[in-house]
Amino acid sequence: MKRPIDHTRFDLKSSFNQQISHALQMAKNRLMITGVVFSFALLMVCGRLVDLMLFRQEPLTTNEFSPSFLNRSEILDCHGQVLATTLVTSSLCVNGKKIFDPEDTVIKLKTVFPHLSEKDLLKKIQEKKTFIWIQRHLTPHQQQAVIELGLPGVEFIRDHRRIYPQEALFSHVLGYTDIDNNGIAGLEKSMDVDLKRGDAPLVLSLDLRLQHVMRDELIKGMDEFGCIGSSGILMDVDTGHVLAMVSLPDFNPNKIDRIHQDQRFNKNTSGVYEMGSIMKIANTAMALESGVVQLHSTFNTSEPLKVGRFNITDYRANYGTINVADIFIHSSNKGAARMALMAGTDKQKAFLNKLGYLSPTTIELPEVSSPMVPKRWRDATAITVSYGYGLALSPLQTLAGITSIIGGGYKVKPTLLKEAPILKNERIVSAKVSNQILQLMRYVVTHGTSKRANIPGYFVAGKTGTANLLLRGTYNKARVTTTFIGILGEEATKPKYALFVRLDDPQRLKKTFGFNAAGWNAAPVSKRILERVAHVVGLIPKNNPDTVLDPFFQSANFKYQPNKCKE
Amino acid sequence: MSRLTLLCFAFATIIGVMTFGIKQKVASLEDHLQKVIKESRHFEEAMHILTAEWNYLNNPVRLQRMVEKHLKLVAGTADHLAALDRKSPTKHEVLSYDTRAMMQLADQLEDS
Repeated sequence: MKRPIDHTRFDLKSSFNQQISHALQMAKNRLMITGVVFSFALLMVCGRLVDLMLFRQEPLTTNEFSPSFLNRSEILDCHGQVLATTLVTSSLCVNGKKIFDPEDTVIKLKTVFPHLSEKDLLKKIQEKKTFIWIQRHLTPHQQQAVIELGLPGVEFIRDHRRIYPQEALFSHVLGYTDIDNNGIAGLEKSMDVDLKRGDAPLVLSLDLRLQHVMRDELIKGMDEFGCIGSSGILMDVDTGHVLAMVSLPDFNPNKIDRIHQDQRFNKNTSGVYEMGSIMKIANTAMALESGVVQLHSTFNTSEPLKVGRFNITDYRANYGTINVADIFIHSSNKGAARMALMAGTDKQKAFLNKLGYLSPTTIELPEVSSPMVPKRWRDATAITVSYGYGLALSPLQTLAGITSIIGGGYKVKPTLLKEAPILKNERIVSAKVSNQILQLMRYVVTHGTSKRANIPGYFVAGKTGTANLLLRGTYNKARVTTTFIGILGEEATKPKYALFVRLDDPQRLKKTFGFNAAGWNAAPVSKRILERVAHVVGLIPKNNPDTVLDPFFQSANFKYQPNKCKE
Repeated sequence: MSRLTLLCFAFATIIGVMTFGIKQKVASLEDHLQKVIKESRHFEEAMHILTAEWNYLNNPVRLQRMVEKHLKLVAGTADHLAALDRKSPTKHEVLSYDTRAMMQLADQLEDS
C-alpha cells in the first residue's frame, strides 16, 4: 500500500529550505559588506604605513631639541663671543608644613648660610607657610652641604641666573637683570621682550677686542693724568655701528648689590656736556654748507669780541686776520664766533637740528638724556655755541653728528645691533664740505693742536676740545674736561673709524708743562687707542696715507706744506 | 570558506602582526629618543657652563694681566705691521721690535 503524499509537509520543507537559503544569502551579503569595509580600512592602514615609512622621512622638527633650559637669550659680540648668558642653578626653599623641628632646621641651615636671619626664618616656619625662600642661586658646595644635612621639608628648585663672563667690560651697555632675570638697565632692559623669547642670541655690533683696548687705555690715561672719570666711543664711519663704548668708573654686573650710584651712570648716553672746541667742526661745516664762507674767507681775530660783560679770547696769542682753514686748525674762538654771526642764528639752529644736536639720540639703550638746549637763540647764544658753550650734548650724539659730516655727508644713526638696517638717505652736508672738514681735521693733527694724536703711516684726523668745568653755576678756569674726536683710516679717501675720548678733570703735570688742555692728555690717550685699534683690525700702514681732498689745500691761500707733519 | 576569505584573513593577520611590531618598535624608539634628549640636554647644559667658563677665563683683561706678568709682551705698534708687497724693513723699523734677535739682524743689515 502506497503511502499518500503529505503535501503539507512538503510545502513546509520547501518553505524552510527557502528561508535557509535566504538567510544564507543575507549572511553572505553581510559578510561581503563587512569584508569590504574591513578590507578598505586595512588598505587605508597599509597605505598610511607605506606613506609614513617610505614617503615621510623628514627629520624631527619639534622643540624637543631647542635649548629650553635657556629662559633668556644670550648676548654676543660681533664675533660671537659671549657677553651675557644664563646658567641653570639651584635655589633653596622650605615647606613649613613638612618641618617637624623648626628650631633644629634653622640652626642647621644657619651653619651653611651664616647670613640668614634666624629669628625671621623661625617665625615663617612656625607660621606653617608652604613656601619660604632660603637662598637663591646656590653654589654647588652649598647645595651639597644642604643635601648632607638631610632635613625634611627642605626643597631645591631649578632656577636660572644671568652671568656676565666679561665682568665690567661691557657693564654700561649690557646693563643687568634683577634676581628673577627681568632686565632693569642697559640692553637687558631695552631688549627685555626679545631676550625673554630665548630663541636666538642677540648679536651686538660691539667688538670684545676693541672694547678691551678702549677700556684699558682709558684706565691708563686716567692714572697718567689723574682724572676722576673718562669715557670713549668707537664707531664705524660707514654704518654707524658702535664698536666700543666705555664709561668709567664702571661696575661688575655680576655683583649688582655692590654698585655705587656714580658707577651706574653711562656718561656716553646719559651725560650731557659742553663740548668746547669740538663744536667748531659743526660750526665750520654749517658756515661752509650754507655758502656764507669759503675756506679762503678771512676774518680779523684781533678785534675784541664781547658777550655781555665777558671778553671772548683765544687760547694763544692774537692770530690777526686769518682764513677759515686757519681758524679751524688753530681753534680760534673769535674766528668761530664771527663765522657763526655771519651765518646767523636761524641757519645755525637749523643746521644743528638737522645734525641731531637739538633732540635726544636714537640708540637701543634706555639711558639716553636730552641735550640741554638754550631756550632763546640770540646772537650771544650763536657766539657761545660756535665754540662749544651754552649747548650740552651727549658724547654719542656729538660723535654721531661729526661722523655724519666727515663720512660723506649723510646722516649716520648710531646702533648697537649688528643686524640693524643701515639707512643713509638724509644728507647733512655736501660731499665737498665733508671732504673739506676731513682735510681740516687732518691738518689739526699734522699742524694744529692735536699733533700728539698722529700715528705715522695711518691717516689720522682729529679735533680737540677743552671746556671749563661748571661748578656751582660758575666756570672753574683751573679745572677742565678734555675731549678728542679722532678719525682713523688707511688713507684719506677711506675714513673707517671715528673715536670719541673724554677725560674728566685731567691734572696739570710737569710732563705736560703745566697745561691741561686736550692736546696734552686726550690726544695722546686717543693716539694709543687708535694705534691698538689699527693693529687689531689689521689696518696696514702706508708710506703716505694722505691725499689732497680739496684744491684749496694746494692753493697759495693755504700756508701749510701738504702732508708733512710739523713736529 | 572561500579562498578569498582565507586570503583576506591571512592578509589581515599579517598586517596586524606588522602593525603590532611597528607599534612596539615606535614605543621603544620613543623611549630611546627621550633618553637621548635627556642626555643631550645634560651635555648641552654642561657645554653651556663650560662655554661660559671659557669666556670668563678668556676675558681680555685677565689675559692681558697674565701676559704682562708671565710673558713680558707689549702691545704692538704701527711699525710692526707692513703690507706684503712692501720692501724689506729698514734698520729703524727692525730696531723698533726691541728684541735681541732683531738687534742681530739690524747689525747684519748695517754690515751689508
